[in-house]
Amino acid sequence: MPAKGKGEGEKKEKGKTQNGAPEPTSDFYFPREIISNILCRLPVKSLLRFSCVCKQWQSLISKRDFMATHYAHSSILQHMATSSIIVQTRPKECFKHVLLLYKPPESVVALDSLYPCFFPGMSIVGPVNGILCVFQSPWGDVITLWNPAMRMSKMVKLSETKAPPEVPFFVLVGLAFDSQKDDLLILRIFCSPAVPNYAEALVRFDVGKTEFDKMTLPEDIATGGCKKYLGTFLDFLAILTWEETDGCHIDVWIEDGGWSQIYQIGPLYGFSRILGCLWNGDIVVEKEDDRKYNWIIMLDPMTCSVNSEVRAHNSEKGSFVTINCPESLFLIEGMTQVVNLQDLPDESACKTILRLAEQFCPWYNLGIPVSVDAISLSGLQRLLAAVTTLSNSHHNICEF
Amino acid sequence: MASTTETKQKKMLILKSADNDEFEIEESVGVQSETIKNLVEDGFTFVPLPNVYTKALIKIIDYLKKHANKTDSNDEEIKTFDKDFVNTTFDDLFELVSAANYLHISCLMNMLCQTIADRIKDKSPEAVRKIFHINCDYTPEEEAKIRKANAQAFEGQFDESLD
Repeated sequence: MPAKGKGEGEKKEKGKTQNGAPEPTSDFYFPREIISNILCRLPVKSLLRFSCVCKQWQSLISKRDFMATHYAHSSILQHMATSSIIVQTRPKECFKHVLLLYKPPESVVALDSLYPCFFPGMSIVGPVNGILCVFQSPWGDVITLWNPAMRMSKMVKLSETKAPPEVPFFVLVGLAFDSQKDDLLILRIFCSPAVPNYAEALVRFDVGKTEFDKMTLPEDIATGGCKKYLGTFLDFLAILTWEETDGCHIDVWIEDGGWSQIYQIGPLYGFSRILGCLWNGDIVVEKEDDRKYNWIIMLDPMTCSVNSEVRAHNSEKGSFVTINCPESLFLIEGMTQVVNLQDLPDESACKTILRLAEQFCPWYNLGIPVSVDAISLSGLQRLLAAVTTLSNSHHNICEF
Repeated sequence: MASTTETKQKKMLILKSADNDEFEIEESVGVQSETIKNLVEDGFTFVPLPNVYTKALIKIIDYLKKHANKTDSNDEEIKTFDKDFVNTTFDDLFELVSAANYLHISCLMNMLCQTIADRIKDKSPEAVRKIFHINCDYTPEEEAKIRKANAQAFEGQFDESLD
């Protein structure tokens, strides 16, 4: 095509004529990709409501690739200031498992209980693809997968998973995604009692290889008598350490081919323990004020300033867990609506839920490579992992 | 700037809208659009845009000019410009988003889609249908069924306004 000569392109000013502009009529056409680009940025609640706009929107929203794009968007939001956090607490008086949703600066909302009856000692791990796993400590019973944004859950029966012959000390539960098998994994790690005079070790479970491997700890941490929190900090495996004294500092160590200390935060006053690290880089700590109220505080590790804080229940020691949970449309076959407890008579509902848990249904293949390692920081003699994938109900035991 | 015509050393491009208006812009401004960039790399300096109408093209050229001169110091100025840019009717936004999609200007696509999403987030399905000029193709029974299945998403009050 010959290039046009310079000067022919005079800019013509036009009035607001109607020529050309697409008429806003019922056959106003939008390519599907644009609709998808707009809708994938919406919260789950808006999307569920908009599924009744028209059939095309409904079919788009229920497509797997749309769900993946939507989850990618909602995960990005978690890396920014607008984190939505699930807080687990077990209040001292009743030992009930309370789950709260906290989206700063909004107030805290209590989430509907997953069970129509009371199970003591519940705990929570995850998320993988926006799905959390609730289970009962210390044996890893009543394992329930839960999508809080969709308010859907399902109790999962782990086939053939029995505790090893010797009585385990406790069971760790982990939720992981095996990107090779494209499958969600539930891990139960059986831990035997610690031997006397044990040395601390860090053990990692490789989901892809279904193998344990031992990682070395930085000497300062291995030999020091400080308190530790193990988690992920800005996508790195991290150990946060602190002394149990007032005015202590938190040291942040990350593993990036070797351990290095990247921050020292503090001094902190009235600080009790670390509860977690958020995807936006904030460190969540528990603090007790002069009136003995517990506070959950989000700290900026660089400036040590408080980004947000919320007063928490008077919880059982060590029961707080805070996790980022991006909203997701992903469901597992057989999930049912989480029903408000008051709406149901206790006994029949409990039976229904337990009956549903008998069915073992396949996980929808997702194709999102998320790999989560199950990690345990302890001085344990022996570890056994039971790995159950949802699609083949296959089951491995491997030993460390 | 558009008024400077004595910029001999700068490579220029001519964009032609669907309603046959022609606009001369600097190549460095135009290549922020992937569609234009590909044509420029193939040696074209005259770019017909059969899917982009004059009204949208004027706005998009403004946007490209502003963003081509992005420096560290005019960050606030660009933010204000962007805010004004999207402060318009849904129909204008839709026209712009179609044009930005055709021209493959990803930062503009992101901004427009995010703006539209933020503005419809709290609306009722009825308002969304009107805004997007969609005819509901469900039978009343089918619609009732979907509403029932997603009952929790209909808890509360929704925005019925169309702006």
